Amino acid sequence: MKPEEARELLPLYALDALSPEERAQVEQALELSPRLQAELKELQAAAADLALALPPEPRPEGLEERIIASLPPRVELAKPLSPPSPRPMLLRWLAPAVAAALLLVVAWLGSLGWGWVQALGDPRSQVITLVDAQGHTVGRALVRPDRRTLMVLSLPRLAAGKVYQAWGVGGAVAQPIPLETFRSRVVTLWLPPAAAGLAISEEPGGGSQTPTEIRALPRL
Amino acid sequence: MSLEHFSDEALLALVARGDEEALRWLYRRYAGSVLALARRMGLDAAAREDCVQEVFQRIWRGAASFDPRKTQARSWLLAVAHHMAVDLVRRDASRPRALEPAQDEEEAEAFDLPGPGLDEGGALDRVRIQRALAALSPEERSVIEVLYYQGYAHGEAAERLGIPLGTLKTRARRALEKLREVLGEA
Repeated sequence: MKPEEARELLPLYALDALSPEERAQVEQALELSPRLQAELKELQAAAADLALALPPEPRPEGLEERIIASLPPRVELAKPLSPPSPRPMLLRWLAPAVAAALLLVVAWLGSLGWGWVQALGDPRSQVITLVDAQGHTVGRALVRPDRRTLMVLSLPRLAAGKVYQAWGVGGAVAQPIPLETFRSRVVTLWLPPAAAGLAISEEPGGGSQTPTEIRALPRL
Repeated sequence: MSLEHFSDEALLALVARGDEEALRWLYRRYAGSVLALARRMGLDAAAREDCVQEVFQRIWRGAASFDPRKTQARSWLLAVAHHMAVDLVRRDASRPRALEPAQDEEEAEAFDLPGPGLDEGGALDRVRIQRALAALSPEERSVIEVLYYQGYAHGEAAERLGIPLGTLKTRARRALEKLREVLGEA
């Protein structure tokens, strides 16, 4: 299907009015065209508004539990975040490329980095892998026993006026704890003892008290 | 850790990783709208519950395919819901009641004013959306009614409305674009 033909069908795609064959053809065209994707995003937002225009109905008693009980098992079931545990021979646990990257960062930090060099060999240190919504690794954090934390990230460049913000999560944390805001790829911060892990969100300049758009979570 | 304040995008990311608590929060946010949509599309009470259950099972299975660069989480969730409702409507050959008489603006607001214990922010959003719907021409509203709320495929919809397919496509596009324009100005 040519892009202009697909474009003509986008409103009907957003309204679920195409046959399965037509949907598949439009989806093929979408894969090749960021312009069509952007246009569909707007049309789908309008279609969602049509559903939200209706006053919501009360939720039937017990339906939530029935839905949860009916969920098919998943291979990658969530596990609770565990508190930092001793990790003997830490360098062996790190992928060689990650270890090299961390060592480069340590070297870049100069004299201030000596504590991080020691942390790499400290069995009480912890490495947290951060992943995006698709499960791709977007960074790692090295947490020292004194909770000083070094993060190396590969998140997308931010728009003007936006910042990334770190959050303490997991463990004994009931609500994400707001931590430092930053725009750089290498960040040092202090992770509160109650938090077992870190999350990263995108926020308006100055940061927020609750996460707006989560960009990275600890890999479970 | 409570996920109450997490965005829909963050909750979907957690659901993709198998977090049941995140799915519970999405259910609490959207189940009422899914039920309302299913009712509007003519499904009976039992079918509406089946619809909601199947929608959240699909969200559970399909959350990993959600790409926040391509669509908003809210749009994705409600598209899953509408798709499921359309499947049920077409499968059962049940159809919603005929076109409802157009409500004037006052009626729409009176119908859905926020009250004690209700989600006031959501109710105000609905008033805004209903006002945007009121900005559509009668012809554009008819196209939205037959395609979205009654779940007809485009060929059948054009036939029911007695208009050429090209006109149906044009009106559908204009209606959706106008909705976005009006809501963007609000």
